[in-house]
Order: sequence, then C-alpha cells, then structure tokens
Amino acid sequence: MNGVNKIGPLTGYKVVEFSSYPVGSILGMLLSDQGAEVVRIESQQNTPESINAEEISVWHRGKVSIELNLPDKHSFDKLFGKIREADVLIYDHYADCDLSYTSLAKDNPGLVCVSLPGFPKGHIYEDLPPDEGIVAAASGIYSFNPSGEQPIEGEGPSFHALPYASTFAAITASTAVVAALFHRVKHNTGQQITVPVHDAMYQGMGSALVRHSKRSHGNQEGHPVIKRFYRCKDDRWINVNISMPRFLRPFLENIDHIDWLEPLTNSKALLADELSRNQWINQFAEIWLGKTAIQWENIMADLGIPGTMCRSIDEWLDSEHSVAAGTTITVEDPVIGEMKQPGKIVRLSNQIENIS
Amino acid sequence: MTNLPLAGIRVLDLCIVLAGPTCGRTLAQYGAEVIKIDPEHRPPQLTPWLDVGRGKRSIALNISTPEGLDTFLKLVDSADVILEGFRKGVTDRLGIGYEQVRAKNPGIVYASINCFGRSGPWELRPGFEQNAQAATGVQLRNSGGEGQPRPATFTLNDYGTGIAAAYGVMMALLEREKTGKGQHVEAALSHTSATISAPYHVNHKNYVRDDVGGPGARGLNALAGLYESADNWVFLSAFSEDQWLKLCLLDEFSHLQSMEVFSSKASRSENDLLLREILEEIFVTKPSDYWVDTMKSAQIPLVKNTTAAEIHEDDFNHARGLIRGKDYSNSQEINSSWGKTTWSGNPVNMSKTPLQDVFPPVFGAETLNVLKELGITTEKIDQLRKAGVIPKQLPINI
Repeated sequence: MNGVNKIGPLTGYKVVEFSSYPVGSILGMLLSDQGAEVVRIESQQNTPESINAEEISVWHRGKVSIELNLPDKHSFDKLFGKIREADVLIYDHYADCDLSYTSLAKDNPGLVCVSLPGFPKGHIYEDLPPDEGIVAAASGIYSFNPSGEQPIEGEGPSFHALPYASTFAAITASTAVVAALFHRVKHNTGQQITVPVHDAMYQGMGSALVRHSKRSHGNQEGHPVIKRFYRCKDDRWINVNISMPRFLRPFLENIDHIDWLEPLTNSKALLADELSRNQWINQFAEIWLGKTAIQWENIMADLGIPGTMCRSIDEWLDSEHSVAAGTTITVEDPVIGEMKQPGKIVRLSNQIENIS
Repeated sequence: MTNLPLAGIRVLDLCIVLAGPTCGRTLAQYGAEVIKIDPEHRPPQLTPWLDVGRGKRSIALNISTPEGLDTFLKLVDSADVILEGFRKGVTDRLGIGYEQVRAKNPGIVYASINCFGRSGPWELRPGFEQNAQAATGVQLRNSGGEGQPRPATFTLNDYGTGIAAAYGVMMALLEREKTGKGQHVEAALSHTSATISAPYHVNHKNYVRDDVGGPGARGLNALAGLYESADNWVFLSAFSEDQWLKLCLLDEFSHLQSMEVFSSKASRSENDLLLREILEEIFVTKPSDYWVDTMKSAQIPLVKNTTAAEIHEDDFNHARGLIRGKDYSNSQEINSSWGKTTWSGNPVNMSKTPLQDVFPPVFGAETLNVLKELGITTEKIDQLRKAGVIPKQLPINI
C-alpha cells in the first residue's frame, strides 16, 4: 500500500472499492486524493487484466489494499464487515451477491452505494462490462473527428488511447457521491447512485449534440483564414486561438500588420473570394515561420493571447510550470519507486497537500 | 424541488465559454439556484448556451461599472458559491477577488477555473481547451508524432474541468457544514488533462514510453481495438485468456488456436501486428450485426461502432433521456427563434435525490426580478438602465 498522509475535505469518510475496471479505481482515486480512507478489495474475481503497473500506481494511490479469497464465506464476512463501517461503496456487478443500497441499507442505512456499469439497464449491451473501448465505441465518440461528426475521409473512426469514458464517468460520479454525503448530513440517509459509463459520455460530447434552428449538425466552423496550428521556424508547431478580434488586434500590432485587421475580420468577404482567401491563408502561415514555437509562445504570453507550443508528454512532465502548478507530482511508489504522476484534479485551499 | 441535495444553495456564475458554465449547470442539476451574470456587450452564443447555460437564472449586468459592481456585491451577501474563470488577478482588480469577497462573506466557496492553474510560471497565461491539450502532449500523441498535431475529437478538458470544479465546490460545501468556513477551489484544464491522460502522464527510471496514437491507431492491441466489418466498424475486447479461448472456439477464428505464434499471451503480444492483420481479414467478411450476435452468444465483448447520426436516431437514447430538448418554435417568448432544440441529458441516477431536468433561460430574463429581490427600487433600476449597467431592452435574443 502507498503511504497515506493527507488531510482534505473527505478526511474521515471511509470508502470501500470493489471494482474490476478502471472507472471504479479512478473514482476511488478521486476520493482518496481528497482525504477519504479508501480500502480497495482485491480478489481473483476483480483482478483487472487490462491495466498496467503505471496505471495501477496512479489509480490505486493512497489506498489500503485488502486481499480476499472470494467467494469463500470468511472472505464474504470480511467484505461485509468493511461495508458496514463504510460511508461509500464503489462496486461493479458481482454475480455472487447483491451490493446495492436496497440490500445493504438494513445494516448501514447511511451507506452511499455507487454502481458504475458499462451500460444502463435495457440497453442492448447491458450485459457488457465497463471496458473503456467497448463503451467508447458504443457511445459514438470514436466516430467524431477533431472538427466534425464524420471520420476524416479515408481514415475510419478515430481511436484514442486515453481512458476518456472511464475518467469522465468517474468525475461525474464523484459529484454524485459528494451530493449524497451532503444530503445525508441533513437527512441522515444514504442512497443508491448509478452512473453508466456509456451515459456519462453524452455530457462529455456536450455541444456536439446541440441542435437548434441555425445548427443542423455538430460540425465546427472555424475562421476562414486563421487556423489553429502553425508550423514555426524550428519545425515545431504552435496551437493558437487568435481569430477573435480581442486577440487578433494585439497580435497584428505586434507583427506590425494592424492593417490586416479589417480584412481578416471580414469573414463574409473572405468566404466569397476563394483566391483572396487562399492568399491570406498562405500569407498568414508565412508569419509563423519567422520565429521558433517557444519564441511565439512567449510573445503571446506577454500579449495575453492564447498560444501554446505543442509539447510531447515528456516535455510537459519535465516543464517548470507543470511541476510548480502541481499538475505533475512526484510520488514514491512501493513497487516502482520514485515516479512522476498527475496531480490532483481539483484543489481546495484548506487542504494539506501530500499524496503518496 | 426541495429534496435536491443543493436546495437552498445560491451560486453566482461569472464564467464564460464551457468549463466554468459546465460547473454552474452541474450545480443547478443538483438543485442549486444559479444566477448567471453576463454583460450585455458580451452576450452568450446560442450553441453553448443550450448546453451549459441550462438551469440558470440569467441576468444581464455589467460588473465593470461602479454601479454594476455594487449590485454584484449585494448579491455576494446572500451567495454561498461564486464561480469565476478570469485570468488570475482580474477579479482582484475588480474588487471581487477571493480575499475581498471572503471579508464580506466568510462562508463563501469561491471557485476559480482557468487553463493552467493559479501557481507556477504560467499562472497568468490565458488558454482554452486546445491550449491545455497542446501543453500536455495530447495533440502530438494524436498525430502519432508526425506532421501537423491533431486535437482530441472532443472538448474533453472543458467538460471534465467543469464537473471537477463542481466536485470541488460540493466538497467545500460539505466541509463548511462542519467548520462554518468557506474556501477557495481551484480547477484547471491542464489538471484535468493530466488526470485523463493518467496512463501516459507518468515517468520513472525504468519506464519505456509506448504511447498509442496517430490517425491510423485502431486500438491498444489486436485483441482490444476497432475492426472494419463488411458494412461498418466494430470494437473487439478479448484480451483475457478466457476470452481468447472462447474466440478460438468460433469457426472463423478456430485456426488461430493451433498457430504457435499465438499460443500464449506473451507470444500474442510479440506478434500483435500479425494477429491484427489476420483479424482484419476475418472481420471484413461479414456485417457488424453478424459479429455482434456471434460474439454475444460466445460471451466475448464486441460492439458496433456507433456513428454520430445514430446517436441522434437511437430511440433508446431519447427514451432514456440521454438526448433531450424542446421545440421552441411556437414559444410566445423571444426564444421562438431557437426552433427545435436538442442537448445532452443527465447520466446520474440517485435513488433518493434524483437530479432535476434543467432548461436554457432567455438571456437577461431574470434581471429585473433579481434586482427587485435585492430591494432595488424601480427608480434605481431606471438609473441603472440609463447608465448602461443593465440593458435598456430586456430580455435579449441570442
């Protein structure tokens, strides 16, 4: 077990985590990071096959692990003993017992039970586990491309290796857990929470699902000339967001081309004239080749304009800012040793920072 | 609905774009009264308004004027939560920074939401979703390290940060029940990106980086990935030994079991590319529905890859409330121009405190009501109009 020494808003709350998939482990981590005492139940039934040592280290940090030999009766007694003392239970479906609030409330009426199935009841895939790729594909998120609703021609669906669905569902469930605990303070009762991972993705897709009289599809419409990415002098790329006049003006002033403001903010004219538009596109791209990506990033920071060099993850992990801001922390893992990990997702000023 | 967890909690939402307003909407779903404050000269855009503006009382108020600031500070007296997404330092200059507000209202929970956090060399830098992605390696990984970087397919950090901020706010409210004190909550797009990127946001002396990414990426390995079928795409998840053995019992895959190169998990890993090629040739021979039925019978996880059009057409999604909306075409209010609308529904089920459905307000519609609730007289309201602190015409169509 990792050393536990943290004080936070959830200090004093006890969580039992009996989960075989990342979503449950990630929720447990989110609660543990805020001071909750999280006991993770390990058994053959819930040993995940798909996560690696680094993921285990991050998602299980700060927790106490107890190994049980389920479905042995003595192990069941231990499991239920832990649940009787708990404030929160995180669970997947476990065939040999009912871990819902309805079943457990008689012994612990204040318990908050959190179920994180892959799919809701009644869904054609309701029997499938909350496997990241399975849920992501079924919810549709692989079908989008970065700017629209169809895969880019010739490319097929966009697989991404980040556990977005699991993490998003866990973050969503964390609000429900705290809401239930807040309600319990006043009303002295626990309850059942269910957040199907598939369903959580719909809030994750967000505005892509919005329709109204002027929007019949989910494709994004960008500026006709100003792009998001520009190649710089050193062949590195910078991501910029400067099509809005409040950002474009100071940028153009800086490069001594304020005369470009009027034509570049006249989208109607730009859209009507393809030749002129292409000339502007090329002309604007040429500007960025004059400096390195870092030089541009620093200039834009000084001007208060959003512009960020596209970094590798290692460059970010080693960056002064990610460490100083607590986005990257160093922990001592009992198996791996010293390692860099993501910091807490949210910080409260009364917390004492110490994850290990 | 007084049974909601956050019933009686008042939130002042000063945020724009997506992350901060997502926090406000989340708190509204749990029952908080959320007063959304925007100046007339910076009206919200309709698409994000229908998504993250829902559940709020919208007022049009210019807090950068002395009278607007004074009105806001009257609201602070009765508020439990303030949400702001300005660059660090702006709220202090306006006179509504955390310490300034706390002096008036010690129980205030004050959430600051930005791109790069509130400490470190970049604490003053502006940034949006894509800046957080660019900084944290997401975009280079998505390009496979070659050519132009590619953004993620969704604004994953915006929504994640907004909901994480709501998590922080609710924890602060929970702690306040014990201590009576408020506190400052910090959420940032880059913090969220790090959490989502957890499998890759790591390093140690023996670590060998093997990030999966790029336009040609289809999965983590041959037994956990996308495959093209005769008519669509499917996702297979069969990496456990048990699932592999079940797969090999199926006619189309039975020859794999006798192949030495796939005889163990380790050898399948070593020969992953070969296995993928073989599976691609098999899956493309039959349609998705055949594979879904076959794998279901064999108890191997496989799903059809859903398209964006299918999300909207799926009756189950509508019946379950995952796609919600309203037809405003015949509305007697100013928002009839919105027409037929849809937005995403709420995924959280709570047995004792079900979340409430929330709807988009008309911009500025609650301005006069909120001012009157503060005890501001009709005469004073007219003065505020004349001074441009509130709009002359209300409400405002967006």
